[in-house]
Amino acid sequence: MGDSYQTVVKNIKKGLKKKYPDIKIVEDGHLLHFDVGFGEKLAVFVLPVWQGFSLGSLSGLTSVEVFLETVRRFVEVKPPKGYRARFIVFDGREEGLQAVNDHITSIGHSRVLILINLRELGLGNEKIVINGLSGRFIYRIAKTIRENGLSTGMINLRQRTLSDIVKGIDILEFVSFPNSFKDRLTGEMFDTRRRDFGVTLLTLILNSVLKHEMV
Amino acid sequence: MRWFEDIVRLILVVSVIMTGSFYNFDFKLPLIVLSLVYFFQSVILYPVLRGTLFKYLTYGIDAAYILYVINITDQVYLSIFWFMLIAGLRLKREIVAAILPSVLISGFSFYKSGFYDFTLVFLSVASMVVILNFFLRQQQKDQKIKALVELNKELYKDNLVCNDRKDFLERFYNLKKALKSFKNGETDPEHLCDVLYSSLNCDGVVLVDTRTGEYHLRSKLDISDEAVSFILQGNIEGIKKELSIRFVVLKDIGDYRLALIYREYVLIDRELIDAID
Repeated sequence: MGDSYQTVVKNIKKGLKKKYPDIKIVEDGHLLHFDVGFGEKLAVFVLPVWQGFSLGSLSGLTSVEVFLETVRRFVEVKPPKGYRARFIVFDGREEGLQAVNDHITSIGHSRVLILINLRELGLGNEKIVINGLSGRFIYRIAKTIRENGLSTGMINLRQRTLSDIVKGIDILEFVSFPNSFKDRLTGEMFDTRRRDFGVTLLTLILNSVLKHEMV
Repeated sequence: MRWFEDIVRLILVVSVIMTGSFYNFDFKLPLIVLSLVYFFQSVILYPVLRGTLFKYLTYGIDAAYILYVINITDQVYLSIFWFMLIAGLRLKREIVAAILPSVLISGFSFYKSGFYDFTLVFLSVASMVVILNFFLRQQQKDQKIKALVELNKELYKDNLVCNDRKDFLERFYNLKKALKSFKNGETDPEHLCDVLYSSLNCDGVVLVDTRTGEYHLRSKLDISDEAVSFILQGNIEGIKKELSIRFVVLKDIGDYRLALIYREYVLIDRELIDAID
């Protein structure tokens, strides 16, 4: 069994409203979204609530923690400059995926700088999935990895990714690979160090890829 | 801790028997018989009842025996044996079940001693020792669990590193095995293409027979005939332009020309590519 999309959303809303009461959360059927910062262009961070998602499992708990930590860093540490960060939590079934696609279309592809899927970030052994990235982003990410000596790599994933559903924009995804235990361990194995490393990796990459987009 | 409880019961029974003999009670013999029956039934019956709900009955039997011998021998110090018996309890529900008998025994001993102050002192000390022992053991248990969880987290981290290495070696082995089989004529080009495509992170694998021009491919990209002819010619720039890609690696395997196509970047494959010969 797992936790339903509604349960996950309830937990996230509870956490956010308590810490950041000024954030305006919009619920729209199969997805929920809110913005941090100001700007015409958007960097979209998504958290899918996939089938079998459980807040008691390592993968479920880690993805929510990474999501909330990313929000915290944008709100408390360094707000986004020159663009808005939009955070979306969506139901990972077909209806939810379609809802995300429609949402991105309604924003306008030209306004979306990048879409980042936060699933599997923070589990350890993160690899950057390049399936949905254009050449210039891949090049910048490779440069960032080299210059910072990061212990991660880029991978061409041979399975269905978000970039197969949401088209027309650059999509950055992460996969914890190889990791045979990620779906079998419980939330007790959650480690804040791995979460923080994941979010730091994300912000490093984001800064490097968006730096040139803001010019 | 069963052996500890058996020893405590043995000492209790010996104390009762010796008290009976020392004070030369009239009921010395029945007391000895009762004590022996109590001891042997605890040794034989208690291990059987321990795994069931009847274990709470065993506490009742112990408490009843102790209360009875305190009553007939007037030896209030025998109540200490009760606290020694419950010192080994670990579960919260067992401790709760032992509270009522503890209160009864303590109260009765205090009453039997004529409300003597020192009786109250030793009873309080005994019960505090039991409670402290329980909390200390809980604390130790929690610390042990915490240490195990931390160890598991470290092992998970190490496992990820090993998984990385294992994955690389597995791909390396599969690649080498497939290449060897192909060169020996044991497998066909289709199989080699499959293995190469699954082992490497490339966007396409094209294997062209230089004698016949026949080609086999695995790719998400559209590979045109023009691109295949460029591969045959070894024209790297032509391939890149035709397919709009950034990188291509050409290798010769016997009579075949292998092209590994990378749309934007040669990913974590360098060592594997070097292993293709």
